Amino acid sequence: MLPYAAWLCWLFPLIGALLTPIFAKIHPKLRDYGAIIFGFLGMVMAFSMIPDILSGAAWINASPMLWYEEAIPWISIPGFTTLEWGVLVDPLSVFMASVATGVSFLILVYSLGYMHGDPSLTRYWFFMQLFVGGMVLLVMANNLLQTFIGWEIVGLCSYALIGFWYNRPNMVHDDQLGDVTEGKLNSHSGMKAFVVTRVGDVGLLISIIFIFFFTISAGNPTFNYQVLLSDFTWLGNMALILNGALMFAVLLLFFLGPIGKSAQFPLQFWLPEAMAGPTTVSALIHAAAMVKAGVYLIARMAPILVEGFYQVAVPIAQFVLMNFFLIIAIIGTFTAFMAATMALVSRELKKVLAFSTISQLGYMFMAIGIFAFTAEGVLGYTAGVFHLAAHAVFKALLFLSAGAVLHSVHSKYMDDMGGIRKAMPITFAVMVIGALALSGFPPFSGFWSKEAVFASAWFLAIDLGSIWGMIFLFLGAITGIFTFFYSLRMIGMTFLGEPSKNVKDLAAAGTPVHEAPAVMWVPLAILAGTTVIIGFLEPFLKQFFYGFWGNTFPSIPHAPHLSDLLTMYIHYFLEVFASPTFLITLGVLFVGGFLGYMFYIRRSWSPDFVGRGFLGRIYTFLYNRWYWNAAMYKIFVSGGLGFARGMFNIVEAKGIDKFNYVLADGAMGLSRRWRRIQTGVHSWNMILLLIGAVMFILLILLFQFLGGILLIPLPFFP
Amino acid sequence: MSYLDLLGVPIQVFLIVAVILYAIGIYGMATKRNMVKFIIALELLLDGAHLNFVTFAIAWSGFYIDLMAQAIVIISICIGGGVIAIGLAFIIRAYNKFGTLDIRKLNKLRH
Amino acid sequence: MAIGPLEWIQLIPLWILFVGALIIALLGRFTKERAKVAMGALSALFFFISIFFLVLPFPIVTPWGTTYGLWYQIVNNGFNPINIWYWPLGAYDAATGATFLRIDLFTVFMAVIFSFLAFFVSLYSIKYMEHDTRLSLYYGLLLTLVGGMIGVVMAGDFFTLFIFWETMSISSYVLVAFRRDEAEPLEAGIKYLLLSAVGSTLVLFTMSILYGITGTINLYQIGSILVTLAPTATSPLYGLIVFTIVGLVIGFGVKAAIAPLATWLPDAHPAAPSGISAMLSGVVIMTGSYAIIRLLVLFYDPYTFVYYGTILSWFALFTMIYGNLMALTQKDLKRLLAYSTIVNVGYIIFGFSIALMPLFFPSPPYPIGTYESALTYSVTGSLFHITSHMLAKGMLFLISGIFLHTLHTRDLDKLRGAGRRMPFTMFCFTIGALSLAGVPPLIGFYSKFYIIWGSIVAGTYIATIILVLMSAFSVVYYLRMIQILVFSEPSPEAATAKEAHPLLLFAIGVLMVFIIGIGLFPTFFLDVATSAAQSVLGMIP
Repeated sequence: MLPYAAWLCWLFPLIGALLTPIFAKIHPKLRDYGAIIFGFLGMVMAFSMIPDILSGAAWINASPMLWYEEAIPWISIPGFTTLEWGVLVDPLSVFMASVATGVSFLILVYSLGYMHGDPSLTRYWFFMQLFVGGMVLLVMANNLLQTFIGWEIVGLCSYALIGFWYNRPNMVHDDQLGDVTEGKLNSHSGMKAFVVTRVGDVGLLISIIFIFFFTISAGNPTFNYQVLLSDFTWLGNMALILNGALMFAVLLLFFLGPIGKSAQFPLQFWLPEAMAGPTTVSALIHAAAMVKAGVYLIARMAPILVEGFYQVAVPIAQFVLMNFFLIIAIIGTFTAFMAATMALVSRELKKVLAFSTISQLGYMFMAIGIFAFTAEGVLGYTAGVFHLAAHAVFKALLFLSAGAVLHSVHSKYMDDMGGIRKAMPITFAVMVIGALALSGFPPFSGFWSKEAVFASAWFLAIDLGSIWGMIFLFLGAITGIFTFFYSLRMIGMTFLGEPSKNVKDLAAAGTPVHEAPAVMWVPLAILAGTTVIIGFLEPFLKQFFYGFWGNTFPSIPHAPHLSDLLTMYIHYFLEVFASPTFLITLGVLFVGGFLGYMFYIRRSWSPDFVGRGFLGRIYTFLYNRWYWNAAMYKIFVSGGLGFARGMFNIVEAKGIDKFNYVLADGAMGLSRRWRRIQTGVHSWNMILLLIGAVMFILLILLFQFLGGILLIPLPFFP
Repeated sequence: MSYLDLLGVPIQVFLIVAVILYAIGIYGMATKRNMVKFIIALELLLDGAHLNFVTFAIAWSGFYIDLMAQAIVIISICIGGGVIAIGLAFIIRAYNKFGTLDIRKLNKLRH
Repeated sequence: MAIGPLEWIQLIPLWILFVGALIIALLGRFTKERAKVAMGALSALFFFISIFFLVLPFPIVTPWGTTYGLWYQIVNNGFNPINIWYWPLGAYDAATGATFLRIDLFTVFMAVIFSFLAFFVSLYSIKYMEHDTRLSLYYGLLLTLVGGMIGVVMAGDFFTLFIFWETMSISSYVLVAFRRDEAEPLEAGIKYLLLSAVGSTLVLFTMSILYGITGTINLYQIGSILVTLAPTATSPLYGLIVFTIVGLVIGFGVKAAIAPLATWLPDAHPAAPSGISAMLSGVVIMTGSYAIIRLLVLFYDPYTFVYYGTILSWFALFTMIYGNLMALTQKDLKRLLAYSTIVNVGYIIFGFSIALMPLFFPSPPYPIGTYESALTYSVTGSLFHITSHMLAKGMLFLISGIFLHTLHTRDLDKLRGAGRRMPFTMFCFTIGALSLAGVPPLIGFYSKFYIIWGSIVAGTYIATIILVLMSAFSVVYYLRMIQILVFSEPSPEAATAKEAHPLLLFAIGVLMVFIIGIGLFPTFFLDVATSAAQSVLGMIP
């Protein structure tokens, strides 16, 4: 680890953000490259911590499993507690920081080309770096409060960046949407993202406060993760209240935060509209920063709660925890399925990707939810986290290449593309790699991670015989079929087939579709390479995460020898290819691939038949995103406005407002009269001085007198 | 046995005179309008305190006079002179500016 | 322990300022007032030297031996204060009469605060005062002003205290009326001088009575003598001693701007040049608060002289209400800030007054509520509030000076929308106003929080409610200022404004960074303030 790497990996982007306006004053070039440099430095710092995890240098204690942390005192409330500002160097945080800084560095490089010439670049670079800094702060934090601060920085930046082109009209020329729920301007989308995720944040904050409250009652007020992990009195105390109902409520409120940030059902509907911002922003939100924060937080708390399951010997607590994890998995699975069906019919290129993000996040939650049920917990956990990493890379790749397409086609609808494969060969190649990874095609990263997710569900379904496990496996497999289908649809509609009218018009207008500049496709190539490589890293990742379960896995992390690694690899791959889930994966790929190939690559079958009858109605239903968005708007926006208007007319205008005016006028009037005391006449000043002295004397006399009568010392402030 | 007893005057006399001086000073400060009179009142205020100090210095002294109190008085007289000089300078400026010595005519600041 | 070469070195923070004043006066004389920038820079340099020798963290090796900076020596010597006897007079030496400087953590804490703000005011004045003449007088008096204040906090006896008190006062009189050709400073100066001089004579008179009762001018001996002289309320001298309390509170209260005595403040502070306004509001009035807490804690045992702390806290609460009501409808920016200073003095005095109360109910519901902790929290809060108020109010006055410099008006109506043209200035202004309003991540939150926390632990709940209400009340006019300066359509005057000279912006920028920085990481400064509070309360030697 480089000195202070755990601090600098998030401080560098934040400092970079603060320096951006200053750099911009000096020279625009300095501002652009300064951002890249600070992003690079942050990445170096994050990567430099990886050897410490692998070699076990950051490993402190076996049971409970403690990792290296550094902290400085932050706020001390005397006699009560000292809140710390600290960093935690453990597998999860280092892993997340490496993914976030690495991917976002490539995105920043790509932005150089993509955002070239935008008039508000200072704002862009400032918020991009603040975004990265907030995200890395969130993952490196050693306590809940600090994580929450990072969480909110990320939320703020998402608002600013999604609405980056705040005065650009949102191009909806879509007659099929019953309710126009996308505002007139891009800033509406930003606001929507902010407000919807705030709903979750409020729940999270309440939950954090409750957890803190119970740590107070346990005699050790703290937000620190490792202290929470070492002493479970707080969890035990919480389970005793209201027969576990409070604990369940607190955990659900906690989960509400990740639901909002990671766009899970029922708060999933902000993410598709978050496409309004620049494509780089979408990439950052989907791949590196924002939506991953939710998964991270659950991944952070899950080991603590699972450890608590064993440590807190209260049956009701165990019951509550089991149900909590089950709910995580159910929501994850349902969201995965729901979003995949929406992606089947979407017409916008970036929206397909957005739905696929929601769907893949659902997989991650499913895996982490299952993790609590499996005795070898590490199975589901690594699957979820590994899918997170794989997804970060290939989703960044997909978004950035989609950005390259959009950049040259000037439309976000796939109907306006088609037949541009020849014009953009590199983009086509990398996007195919990304799409295959997304659908889980061997040997790309998505295959290994998705196979691991299936394996964990299989373990729950077959080895434990749980009916829930079978449902997860079934829906997961269906979602996998859909995934490959819509990936192929996306590739086919975008790159293959006949050129659309728009593409021909562009060619006629003298600005034909062209390949992206090098500064854009080089990051794409790097990401594509990583997508291929990262799949082979799963054994390595397992090694990385063994540490969390040091007590169940006795293998103490040591510097791995090459021979160990090779043995492990061979063993691992044999295991994978012999497993039943491999067959499931292959089946899924076959079905999805066949349909997609016939409809969109070879185009033997035409998809037009869905326009009519029952299928047509399903199509409309899916296209309108299960009407969830519309319902939310009906209830909360229109309904909320109506309620607010009613409240305004009744309560505000007639009651509070009047009272306010009375209060304000009264205070102002009092102030005006009061100010007559200040006459500016010297004699009056002197008299006031004398009045002060006399009052002091009189009060003393009065108190002495009263105290003498009552024969007690009077407390004059009850 | 102090020098005060040799004088044959009870200490209370000096103290009462000091308080009276101080009270006159306060009265002048609070009621007068002419700025030069404030300076006189200020001088009276200082003199009350000085007289007090000197009286007590003698009262506390045995064979030696308490030089510290004397030093305070002398230094304070010097400082008082400084304050009064500055005050007078201000007053002269004000007189040139406003054409009056009445402090109530200086009423620009009254919010 | 007479004063030798090593003591001279330790006392550099004090005397360098007076020597500096002399040097600047001579420089002004020989260059015929042309070396304006040099004088400002020299002044800043002297303040820097002063701070440097106060907080120097390593030993100073000299031909006469090794010595340490004041702070370093106190902290490493088990928090024992340093006594420097400088003028032992004849037979009456250490026992009764000798004059000495006594330096403990509280002293150093205050001295650092004084020099810190003065350093930035000097830098600011280089640009701000460039069109004025007689700058040798300005910088010289600025140096003696701060020198006087540091002397006041170092004083160990009445004699020293009085000399430095008057040094400070005289400097401030002249500085308030520095622009002597204008009507406003002159009028304010006269009123300030008269009222303040009355306060000084009252202090002198009270000193003479205390000297008469106890026979000593040593501050650290008077307290024990008073308790033995008047152990109960029926003792013959009890009444007289209570009168001395009134004399000290009222006498120092004029300078400290306690409510009915603060009528000079809203005249004098706005009338002075803005740098001096910042000094007066930020630190000079704090010497009054310093003298009140230091002398009352030393002299009057709260369990013998029972109720004065309570009454002082009522005065503090009245001060807040007074200032808030005055500020609410104020139109003049600098006057508004001056009234808000009065409010903050109320906070500071209130925190101090908790330490002077006999606490009969150490509040059982709170697990941490002990007598000592209540005192520590509230006095720590007050000291921290002195710091936070120094930073924020100093900065706000400097910014009001920038507005005055660019737009030539202090009228809020004419300043409408000026902040839009001066984004950096306005950002600093907003941070300062929010800090004073007590918005959490800024330093002002922690200082208010500690005062309120101390008052809760002390069990003075009604006062706590008033404190919180007044804090909320003050938000109204802080937000009103921001609203007028930013969210209104620019007035014709304000439309032409643009950012001021970088030197001015540098001075306020650094203060702004401190407000945010200490707000984010208050622990170190809170620890220092806690130690200082414990040293003034006699909890550490």
